[in-house]
Formats: sequence, structure tokens, C-alpha cells
Amino acid sequence: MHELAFAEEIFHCVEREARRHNAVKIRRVRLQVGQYSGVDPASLSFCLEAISAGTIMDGAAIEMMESRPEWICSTCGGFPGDSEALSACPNCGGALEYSAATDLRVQEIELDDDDNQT
Amino acid sequence: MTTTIKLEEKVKTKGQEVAEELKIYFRERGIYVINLIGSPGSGKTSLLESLAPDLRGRTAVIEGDLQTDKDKLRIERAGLPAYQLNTLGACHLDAKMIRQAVDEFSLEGAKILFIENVGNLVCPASFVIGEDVKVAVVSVTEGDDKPAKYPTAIRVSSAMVITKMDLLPYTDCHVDQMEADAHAINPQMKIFKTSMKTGEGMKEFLAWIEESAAAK
Ligand SMILES: Nc1nc2c(ncn2[C@@H]2O[C@H](COP(=O)(O)OP(=O)(O)O)[C@@H](O)[C@H]2O)c(=O)[nH]1
Ligand SMILES: [Mg+2]
Ligand SMILES: [Zn+2]
Repeated sequence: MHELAFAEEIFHCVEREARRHNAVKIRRVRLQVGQYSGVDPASLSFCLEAISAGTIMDGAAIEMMESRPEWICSTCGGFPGDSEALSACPNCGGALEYSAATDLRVQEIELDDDDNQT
Repeated sequence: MTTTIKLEEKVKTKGQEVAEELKIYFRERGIYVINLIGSPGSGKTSLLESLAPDLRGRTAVIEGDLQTDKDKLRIERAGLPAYQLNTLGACHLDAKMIRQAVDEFSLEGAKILFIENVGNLVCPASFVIGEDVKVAVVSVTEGDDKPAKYPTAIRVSSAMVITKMDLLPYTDCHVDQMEADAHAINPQMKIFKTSMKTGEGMKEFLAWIEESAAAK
């Protein structure tokens, strides 16, 4: 549904990093797609491919990992992992909350920078 | 040289940013916002008409439809101020449309704002438009498999209003199945079994609205 809007924001984010690092080519973009983000990976791929044609991101490998809902600590923000059985955060004793994996994140970008400039 | 940049950056669409601004706008004014989602004909407008006598004087409604101001007129006849948005084909309301509506529509005195989304159990579930909660409206005549078939709408909604309970004898709908499926997807979900014809369940739903709005 809103994959094109997400693709545009991802592109802006990548473009900004490319400028910051004097990149000449983007090799890989790794995304984390929340299971409940409402984003369809296939449609997002399609949109990304379409808008990166002829740009610095053209041909970049797009990797998507699905993130699932998990427990997070409401106090320290830690992820106690597989904690169905836990009643409190093992690090700080804070209350655990269920995080619904509704985000879409750009995890990392692999780029080629301009050797001549540095 | 190839470099890997670690970012972990959350990507937000313009729509999500506007939705966050709207949340602040509504919070500052103490307005509790309910985004009603459900299929065409599930009874969203009827539900608001039934609530109108109890909520008059402190409630406003934004109506979303592809075309016409029919629902706005129904709500006004029921005694609540209403604003009509026409999406001209789009399958859901987005935050930018709501911002336009609140720019033009006075929410003076409103403590509760209902937004009746475009009739559609799919797309509106994926968009936040500044609401505090989503409420899914599902009628018994749609069949008891709808919560299981449209899990996103169930997952993102705080409550489900099952409407048209008066018609239950004329259907094969098993309301228990609907409830069980909904709770399997969203264990916290509040479920109200209602009829606009008999008034069944409306006291409970109204109480939940009042309680949720008061907590804001
Ligand atoms: N019998 C019965 N009919 C209802 C009930 N709620 C809504 N309706 C009817 O269902 C139809 C669609 O209702 P409407 O409120 O326009 O649905 P919306 O498209 O979701 O806004 C109308 O003809 C209503 O009179 C109910 O609880 N019982
Ligand atoms: Mg309607
Ligand atoms: Zn902790």
C-alpha cells in the first residue's frame, strides 16, 4: 500500500549517507522489515528497483530481514530474547513490554567510496 | 574501497510524520481520537448514529468516503458536527487528509473525535492517522471467518464491535468463533456484541469509550 512512500524515504536515507561518505556506488542495502509494519517485501523491492534506476543505488542488492515481535524492557530498552517465561528484565529488573515489530529500518549500507578523493 | 555503514535507522514516511504531529495536536487539545475501520456496510455510520444522543455536545466526526457527503449528512441529522473527506478513489484515509480536515473543521468543545475510515477491512489497517485507537466494526452478516481472514485489522484494533446481532438468527455466523479467532490474534482486544436495532451491547461500548477517553 504505502511501499512507494517507504521506498522513497529509504532512497533519501541511502542518498544522504552516500553523499556523507563520498560514495560512488551503493553495493548493498540491508533492511529490517517488521512483521507488522504493513509493508509487503515483494512490493517494496519492486518500488526500490524502480526508483533507483539510473541513480547511485542502481543495481544495489536489497536484503530484507523480517523482524518478529519480541519482549523489550520498558526501563533499559534491552531485549531479553526468548523470554516467554521471564516476568522481569534480567538486566535491570524492569517490566517487560511486548514490542509489535511495526518498524521498517535501514540496518546497514555497503558502499564504494571514491578512492581518489581520500 | 568498500565500506559498510551501520545505521539502524527507522524509516518514516511523510504520512507517519504527519500522524505524529496530529497526535500531538490532539493531545494538546485533550481530544480522544477513534479510527473506525470496517467493510462497506458493516454499520460504522449506524454505530455513530446510535451513539450520537449520548455523545452530543462533546463529540465530532470526520467521515471518509470515496464520493458523496451522504454519511456526513446522516451524522449531522443525528446531531453531531461532521466533516466529509472524499478520497476520490483512494482506499483509505491518510494523515495528510486528516490534517486538512482539522484545518477546516472546528473541533471546538470536542473531547472525542471519531474518524470513519473508507469502507475497507484491509488498507486502513496499515495507516496511522493520529488516532489513539482503532476500532474494527464487523457485522454478523459478513460471516464469522472475517477476523481470521483479515488479521491485520484485528491486530491493530483495540476493540472489535460486532454489529447486527439482531440478524444472527438469519445467518450461519458463529459469534463464538469470531471472538476466539480475534482473541487468538489480539488477546487484549475488547469485543462488543451490538445491534443498532435493539440497542444490545451499546451501553457497554459507550462505557468503554467514556472510560478510554477519560484516561487520556
Ligand atoms: N439489522 C441491522 N441493520 C444494521 C445494523 N447496523 C447497521 N445496519 C444496516 O446496515 C446497512 C449499512 O450500514 P451503514 O451504517 O451505512 O454501514 P457503513 O458502510 O459501515 O457505514 C444500513 O442499511 C443499516 O441500516 C444493525 O445493528 N442491525
Ligand atoms: Mg458509512
Ligand atoms: Zn532492563
